[in-house]
Amino acid sequence: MKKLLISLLTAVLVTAGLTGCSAFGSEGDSGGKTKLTISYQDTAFPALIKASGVLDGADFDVEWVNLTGPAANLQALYSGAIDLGHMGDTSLTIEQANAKTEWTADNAPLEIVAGWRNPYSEEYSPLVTAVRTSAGIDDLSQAKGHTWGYNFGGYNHAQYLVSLVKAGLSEQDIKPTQFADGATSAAAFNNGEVDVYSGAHGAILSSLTSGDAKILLDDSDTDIPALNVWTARKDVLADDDKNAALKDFFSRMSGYWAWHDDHPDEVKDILKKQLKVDDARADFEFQVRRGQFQAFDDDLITREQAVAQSLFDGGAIAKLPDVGIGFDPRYNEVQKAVPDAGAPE
Amino acid sequence: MTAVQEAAAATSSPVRTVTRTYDRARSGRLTGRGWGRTPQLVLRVVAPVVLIVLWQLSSSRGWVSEQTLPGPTTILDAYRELWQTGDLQAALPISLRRAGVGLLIGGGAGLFLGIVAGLSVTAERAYDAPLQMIRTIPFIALVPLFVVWFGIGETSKISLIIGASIFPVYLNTYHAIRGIDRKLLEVGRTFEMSRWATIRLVVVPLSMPGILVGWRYAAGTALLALVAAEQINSQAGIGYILNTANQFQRTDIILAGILVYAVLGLLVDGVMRGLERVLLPWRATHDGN
Repeated sequence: MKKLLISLLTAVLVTAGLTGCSAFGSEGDSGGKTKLTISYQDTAFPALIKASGVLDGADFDVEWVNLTGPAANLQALYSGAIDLGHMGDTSLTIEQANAKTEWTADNAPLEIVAGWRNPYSEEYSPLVTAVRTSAGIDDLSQAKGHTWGYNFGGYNHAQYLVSLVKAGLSEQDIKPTQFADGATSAAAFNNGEVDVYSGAHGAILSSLTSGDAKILLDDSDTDIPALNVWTARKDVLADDDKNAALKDFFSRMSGYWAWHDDHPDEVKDILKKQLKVDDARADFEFQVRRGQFQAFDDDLITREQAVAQSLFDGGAIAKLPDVGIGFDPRYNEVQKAVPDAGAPE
Repeated sequence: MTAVQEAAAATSSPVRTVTRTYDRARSGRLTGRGWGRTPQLVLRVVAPVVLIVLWQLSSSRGWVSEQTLPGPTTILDAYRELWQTGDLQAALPISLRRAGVGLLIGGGAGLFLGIVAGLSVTAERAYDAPLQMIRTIPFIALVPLFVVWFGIGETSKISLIIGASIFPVYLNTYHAIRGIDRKLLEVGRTFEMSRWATIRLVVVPLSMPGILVGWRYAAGTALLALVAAEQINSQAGIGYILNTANQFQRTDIILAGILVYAVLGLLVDGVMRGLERVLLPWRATHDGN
């Protein structure tokens, strides 16, 4: 009996201890104000928004969260830890394609509510396919037999698959090298471990400026919208207070882009401080982080659907989703969203 | 030293034998005569210095690119940069607090569970098997689940470190108690010692070395878990610095951060060794000679 009591006491204490831990560091309320918990994949954009002052005097509070990678953002969204998750525009396509239950307009748990990117520029395209100059590849069709680095999912993967199609090659013709994330893929390319690379432009900037690499295709060639997006849970959008706060948030955010363009030095200083990047990368990031919200119109959905088709054809997703289900244009008006920001000028 | 401790020392016949050929240091450690203290210290210092010089040479002579392996001076510059921006000063206390709180709660829970399981068959039957199952799960694989269960605040970070710290202490405590020589417990019974007296005079002193080894392991594991934990919504901490550097390919900062973890690991291990010496002054150990 005594032993049994000891065991029971142990179980109770462990449970109480673990439960007590869960209360550690729990966030307080916002004093009656609606609070939006918004994630971004680095700490620079929140710092820039704060510096711009566009959210000053708002009737809602914003808690910024730093979550790297789409997977972490999706987990945080599903668990209710955040209201808006930052990812690439293709992440929800993959999420939808991998969902156990088929998404419909009614049951889709997540929706993209904002998308943005910089105006098209060959010099500052966010997404590229590049080759090491030492590989002697002047045309992508010559990539046959060469190693080609990319990371799974998202628009980097789409860039890789569409580049293959553009090159008239299949995965059997090359040596595909898949990495866990874009940073590792870029590091392998910068280090000469792979000859061809599809992914973020900024991540291989040092190889490009040193002449060790050159770009053969960018996102305008592959027609990938390459948007940064914020994704929300359906129940957040259905909450009247959150919906009103989001409306005000996006309305205020529409004024951010002009501040960004008007304060290049301040923006670059913040980028250097937050991201620990050198001057060249800060200049690049200043340019690539310019832009405007993009309207979720038929043209964009058609382009997103084409990306989904490429991912499906390339075997990255097992079923072809209707990507329009994942885009909600309800805030486009307050965002002052423009059509086709990624189109060549 | 208690009578039982003396008895325990006396039963350890190999130690008695080697004391004839080794000097007993004041700390209770046995020092070999073959090597003097100075050459040993020189050997300790020379190897890392040679390594650092070779490292710097390979970097400054361009044998290895700066992007692949930045030299020591570049890493010092990275520290200077982190110090000037205030990131390093901000990161260290935050990371240490996370690791410390996680280690204290996790290690404390492991200690409690280990003691109870060590002393009670019923408790062992109740939770040893599930704990053994759980301990084989790599805690890094739990990061996504911890986000779902505990959110993205401090709770999930601390919980991950707690989860990683419990098992080394639990296992070592449990085995240290179960590993006590049955004859010594029988001695206690012969002298009609109460259960509490047996625990205080036999179990605690004899299991303490094992328990402290568990805490040493747990301290190292807490630092490992810290790396994973600080990838969850960190806006400060060594893990945050590493994560950002990884995203923007600052190899010098990545190495600087890794070295901070290494130094923290050494410091924590040093503290635990010091604790061992303070808490177990009666215990004779040897130094490998």
